[in-house]
This record gives sequence, structure tokens and C-alpha cells, in this order.
Amino acid sequence: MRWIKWICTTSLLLGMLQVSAPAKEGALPFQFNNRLRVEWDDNIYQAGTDPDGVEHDKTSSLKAIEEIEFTVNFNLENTFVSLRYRPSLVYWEKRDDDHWDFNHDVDFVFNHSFSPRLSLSLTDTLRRGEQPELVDGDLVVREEDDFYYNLAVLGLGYIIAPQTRVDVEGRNTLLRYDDSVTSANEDYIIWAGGLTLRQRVMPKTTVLGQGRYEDVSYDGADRGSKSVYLALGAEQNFSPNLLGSARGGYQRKMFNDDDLSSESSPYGDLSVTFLPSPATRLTGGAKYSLFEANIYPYASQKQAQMYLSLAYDVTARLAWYLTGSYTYSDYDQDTAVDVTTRDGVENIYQASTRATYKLNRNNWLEAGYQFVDFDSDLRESYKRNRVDVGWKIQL
Amino acid sequence: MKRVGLFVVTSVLLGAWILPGASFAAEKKAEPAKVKKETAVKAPEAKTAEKTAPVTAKADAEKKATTPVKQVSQAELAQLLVNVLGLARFIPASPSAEQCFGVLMANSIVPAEGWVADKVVTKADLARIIVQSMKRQSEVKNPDDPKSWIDYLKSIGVPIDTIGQAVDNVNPLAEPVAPNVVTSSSDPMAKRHKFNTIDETQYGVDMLSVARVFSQLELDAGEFRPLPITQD
Repeated sequence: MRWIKWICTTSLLLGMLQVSAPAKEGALPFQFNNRLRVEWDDNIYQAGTDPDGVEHDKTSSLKAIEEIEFTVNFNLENTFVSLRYRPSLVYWEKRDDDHWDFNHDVDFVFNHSFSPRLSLSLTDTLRRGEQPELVDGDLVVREEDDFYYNLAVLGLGYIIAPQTRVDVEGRNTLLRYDDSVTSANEDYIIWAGGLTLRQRVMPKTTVLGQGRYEDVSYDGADRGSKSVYLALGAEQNFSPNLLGSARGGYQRKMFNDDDLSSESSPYGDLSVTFLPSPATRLTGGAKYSLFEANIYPYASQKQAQMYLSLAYDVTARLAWYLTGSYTYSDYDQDTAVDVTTRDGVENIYQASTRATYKLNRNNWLEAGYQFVDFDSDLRESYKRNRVDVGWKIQL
Repeated sequence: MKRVGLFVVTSVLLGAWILPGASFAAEKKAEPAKVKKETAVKAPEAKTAEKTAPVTAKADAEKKATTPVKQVSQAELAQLLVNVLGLARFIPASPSAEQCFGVLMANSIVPAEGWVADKVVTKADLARIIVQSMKRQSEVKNPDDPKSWIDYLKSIGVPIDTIGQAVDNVNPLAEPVAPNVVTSSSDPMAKRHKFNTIDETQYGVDMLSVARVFSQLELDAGEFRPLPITQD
């Protein structure tokens, strides 16, 4: 039981670390969090019923999940810099071919004000996953999925007048798989640029206009496209405890493959944050747009999504969270680069709840439950339940 | 590679243990006498207003509570807090004031009368927001009394004469709440791909993304292939 040794070692080290930490009153530029969980997963291979109606058996397993998080913040006169690194390690007890997944998350934020009117923002999100090939019985259920995912955004904001602000942004998204077979179909690079003009028309109301251009390129079969977006929106502070935003517009997607016709569609999103009491927070939202396809050989999908999240502070120490989401994806064979495919729909229901108990200033206990119902015409449909208990420490 | 991973994780833990001075020596005690910057961002009109509306420490309590803090707007304070509380990664680069307000409200950080972008931050607002940012609102004796929030900060030695002094006592949130996973944005400059290496929290709960599952076409093409009976 190597994972038990790992848990014991980590717990011991963290305990020693906590004892050594002096009491603190002021803020630290450094922060260290550790989150250790034990989880029961009833369907680790995401097995269910394939599109031909063939059922596959589920495999359940215990997992140990160890996440360490380092954050460094520098808040200078006109500059803010933040770096967050979170390596995480997952041990799967019943996964015989490879028990370990190892992941790295890096988040970088750089904000600088050149003058009271002109500011610059640079953010970068890097994800590295090392996820081995998974074999269940005599089937490969996942090929080697080691990958890099990086999202970089550079923005310049300029206050034209006290009530008017313009933002110019550029964004690059890069996905690279290590495995050549996966890489051939899935790797992409997305460039996007845009301009947003915001006008505060009343003390609690802002209207905005946006223009966007996006270029999606795949390394393999050409599922790429170029899109233009135009939208209008509003952000409204309805009351001290109710905030909402809405945006709607039109997008035109022109595919790189000459055999695919261009698509035009309205798009939009809205979100609401509501605090019915000082201890309760609710956020809900919905969107509809054309989106990158999650599955080969489609070049696009129509995606609608909605979610509702609740946070409730039961007491000063006990907090309870609940979130549900629904995602609808519509794949049309007319947007596929392979003519042998077909139309299909996916419905994804997710629900999750978690409770945390603050033992003291630095320690939390937590328990959670997650449910996924993945229903697809194009991929294997499955249901999955996970239950976990854990310990989190902040230093 | 897993060995390397284990080595890195263990080294980092050991490093944090062996070198407490590196991280904990950086600890900054609250020093009321220390003069800090006013804020990272100032409105163009704020500089002249500062000179005409200084904060006087000896003013009576009620006047104090409504005294503007160096003419900083709530929008400017919200942007500063989003950075300091470690919430910037949940919202777009160059966020609007309302985007900052939204993520702060989701974390129970809101002035008594709500966020208003152009409104000047008063001491009462600042005291309430700083206490909420420190997640110590349950320790305030009388939450309905603005002076009670100011007194609480005084009692723990946190100065609020300037925004900079006050914010320096705020740490990144241990349990940040944000709709960062299921953020339903259609904006190509803000949308998120469901591409998380491991569980990411959505409003405090884990929302595991659907992993890459083979499509039927990939399956037909042999990716979901049976292994040979006798392996290589």
C-alpha cells in the first residue's frame, strides 16, 4: 500500500510544518496550501453504454489525491504580480496498468498601471497532465493523454473619459498532446483578438460593445476556422445584493476546409449573482454559442450551457456548497471533415456538493460528492459517482 | 516521470520545512505607523481631491465612518482586492468593475450598501470589506453598526487610514469561491475550455471535467481497439 505510506509521510511533514509556523497577523507574500483527499470513485474508466448499445462493466476504485499549492504575490506601487503553482498527484488503487497520474497547474498574473488612465494585464494559465494509457480488461479505454495546455491573454485598458473605457486584448490558446496518434487529431492553436468599449450610462449601469476575431488551427485534418463576433451587452447592479450581466450578438464562422459551409449564429450569455442573506451566495448563468468541437472529426458544435451554484455559511466554521450544471452539445455532420460520420447530440449533467469545517485558522476538514451523467449519441454514455473526504491546510 | 513528480512534491514539502525562514520571515506585522502607498490605481480626479479631503484620526466616530478614504473609488478598491485575494485568475484579464464586484460578492465581500463603481470608499466601507476579506466578519460584535467594524480592525491592529495599509493585511483566500469551471461565457476572449488536469472547484465544489472519451468514429478507426491476446 504505497499510497498509504505517501499519505502518512505527507501528513507528518505538514504537521511538522504547521508546528513550526509562527502566528501571523500581517499578510504574507507567500502562501502554501495542501489538500489531501481520499476518494471513492465508482466508475474510473467511465464505462457505460456505447452508441451501438453494448454495455461495459464499471470498475470502482479508491483514490488518494494530493495537491500542493504555492502562491507568491507582489503588490507594488503600480504593479501586481502573482504566481501560483499547484502540482497534484493521484493514486488509483484499482488501476493495475499504471497507478499514478501527475499534473501541474501554473497561473501567472501581471497587472501594471502605466498611468491613472492606461493599464496592462498579462495572464497565463499552463496545465501539464501526465495521464497514462488506460486498459480495462482487453480494451484500451484511453490512450496516453500526456499533454500541455497553455492560455495566455494580454490586455491593454485605457480610460478615455471618467465613464468610458476601452480594452484591447489578444489571446493565445495552445493544446499539445505527447502521443502522436492523439496529437494528429486533437492538437490546436487558437488566436483571438478583440476590442471592448464600456460606457457607464448610470451609476449602476454599464453598457458595452464588443468586436472579436478568432482563428482556430488544428495540426491534423483541417477542422480549423476563422470567426468574427459582434456583440452588445450590459452590466447592472440591481441592488446591493444583486448583480447581473448579459451579452448578445452574432458570430460568423468560416471553416478552413473548403468542403464545409460557413456557419452564422446568434450567441450570448447571462449571469446573475445574488446574496439573499449575508451567509448565502447564489450565482447562476447560461450561454449559447458555436464552440470548438470536443470530438473528432467535427469542426464545430452548437453548445448551450447553464449552471447554478450555492454557497452557504452554516456557521462561522461550517460552509456548504452546491453546484449543478447542464451542457448540451449538438454536432452536425455538415461540419465534420469526414463524410462517414453522422449527426449527434450530447447531454452532460453534473452535480456536486461539498462541506468544509474550519478546525482552526489553518486547518479544514472537508467531505464531498460528485455526480456526472454523460449521455451521448457519439461516444460511450456513462454515469459516475465520487465521494471524498479530505484535509486542507493553509500556511 | 512519476518518480520525478514524486521527487518534486517531496522536495517542495521538505523545502518548506527546512527553509521556514524563506517564507515565514517574509511575514509582515501590521504596523500602524508605517506609511504605505495609497493604492495601486488612482482615478485621474483623485489626486486633487486627496488634498482637500484628508482623513483626520481624531474626528468623531460617526464622521469617521463616512469619511472618504483618500478619494478612492469602489471600482479601484475592487480591482485591488481581486488581485490581493487571489481571485484574478478566475476572471478575464483587464476585468470590468462589475466582473470584480461579481467575484467579490460570490465571496461575501460587499459594502453595506452594495458595490457602486464611482462611489468613493468610506472608512466604514473599507473596514467592512477588509474584515470580510479576512473572513472574520463573525467576530464583529455589532455588524449593523459601521463603527463596530472599524473598532474591530483597531482591536487587531489593522490600520485603515489608507487603502494600501489596510490591504497589506489581507491574504489570498484559503477557500476562494468562483464560477471558474462552469463559467458560461460565449466571449472568445473569456471562454474556458473544459480542460482541467484534475478536479477544479466551482463555487467550492469539485466539478470534474469529462475526460476525453473516444467518439464512435475514433472507435471504428481502431483507437478503441481490442488488445492482442498475446501482447508484444
